[in-house]
Amino acid sequence: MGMPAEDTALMLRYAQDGDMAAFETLYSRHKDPLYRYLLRLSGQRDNAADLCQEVWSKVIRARAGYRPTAKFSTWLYRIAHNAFIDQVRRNRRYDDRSADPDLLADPGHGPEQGAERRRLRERLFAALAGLPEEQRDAFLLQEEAGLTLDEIASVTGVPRETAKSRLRYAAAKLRKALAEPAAPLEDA
Amino acid sequence: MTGNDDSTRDETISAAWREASTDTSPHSLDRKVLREAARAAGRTARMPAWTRPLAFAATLVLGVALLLHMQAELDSPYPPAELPVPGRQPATSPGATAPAEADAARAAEQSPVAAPPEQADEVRAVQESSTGADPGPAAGNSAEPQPALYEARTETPALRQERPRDAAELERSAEDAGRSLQSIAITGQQDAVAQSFATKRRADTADDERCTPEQRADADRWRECIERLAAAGFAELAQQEREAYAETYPDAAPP
Repeated sequence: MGMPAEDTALMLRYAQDGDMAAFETLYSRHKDPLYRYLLRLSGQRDNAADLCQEVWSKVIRARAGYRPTAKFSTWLYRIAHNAFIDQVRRNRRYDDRSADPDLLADPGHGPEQGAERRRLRERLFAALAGLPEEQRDAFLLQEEAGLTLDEIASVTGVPRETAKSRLRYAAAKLRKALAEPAAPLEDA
Repeated sequence: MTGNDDSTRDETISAAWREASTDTSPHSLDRKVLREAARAAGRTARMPAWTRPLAFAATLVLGVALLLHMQAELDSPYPPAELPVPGRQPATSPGATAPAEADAARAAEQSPVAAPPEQADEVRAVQESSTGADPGPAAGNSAEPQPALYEARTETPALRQERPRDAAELERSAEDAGRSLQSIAITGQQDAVAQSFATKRRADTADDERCTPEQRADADRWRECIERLAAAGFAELAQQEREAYAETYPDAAPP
């Protein structure tokens, strides 16, 4: 059994030869983490879907000029980060992340999920939503995109130490939020 | 994650996040993105990479083969246009052919190389001028449809493209050949005529200069005749006369 093709090789096959199978493989690898990254950044499912479509459209349009100078994921999340920043600048309504009541719902589990699990999820998402945007961005790039510290600094356009500081503050606040006694959940 | 990221990563939070973050992209989004990617791939689908060196090699081979073929054709001593035409029929129209033209046509048939009409006309004109005959109505009729000089070449698109160039070159070479043949014929005929005239003139002059019986009757006059012949350059005739003189006058010293 052969090794799975690298993201860069898949993107080159799609860009140079029009290999649709390579793009489908690439898309299946990154579509859900990218969607979650944009969902937790924007706080709106519809806007996350729109941003995702915009990011992938930019990837498709930029295929002819694609050069493997960096990891594909770094390139992809730089596009996503810039798309989100542009959208925030265009419309400040994304500050109201609590406007989407469905955001805390867990699509992977039904009503039978445990109360403790639901409680943990809601506390984690609520703590993340309370983070400053830069810290939230850095945390999501680390957890969803799987980027390294240097890659996070590259995507967000800040020095490595700045990115490191943001990650530390984010982790500390989330840890504190998870350690606090949970408030009783309202029954649906 | 790399080792230098460990200080920023909290495994408890990471595990909690992985368990909580299970959202997936909507299927409608997947369909839109894949459809757009497929459209873009269809617009920019290119040949596989391995076909590029193959196309280059094929172009190179064809180019070299074409150059070699052209070089071989240029080096050939027998241009394809001058090959004999097997089973070629004479291009003469019955009833309108003069006798001289018929002769030229027969000569062209017998010749292994088909001559263009201009060349045949020039040769015929030389022949007729040497015999003083009327060149006839066909002389200099260059507007007449030319015989199929190029019939020996297999008709191919490449040959059809080469035909104008070959025709011009062949006409030039045929004209040169005709002029050469004409000059050779004229020179040969002139030499022959001059030789015959010289021979005849020499014979007539020798008969005139030969010593008469009256001169031979007188030893002194015969001697003077022999000396005049020798002085005029008729050495052979002078020698004959000298031998006859010695037989007639054996006691006298020959001149």
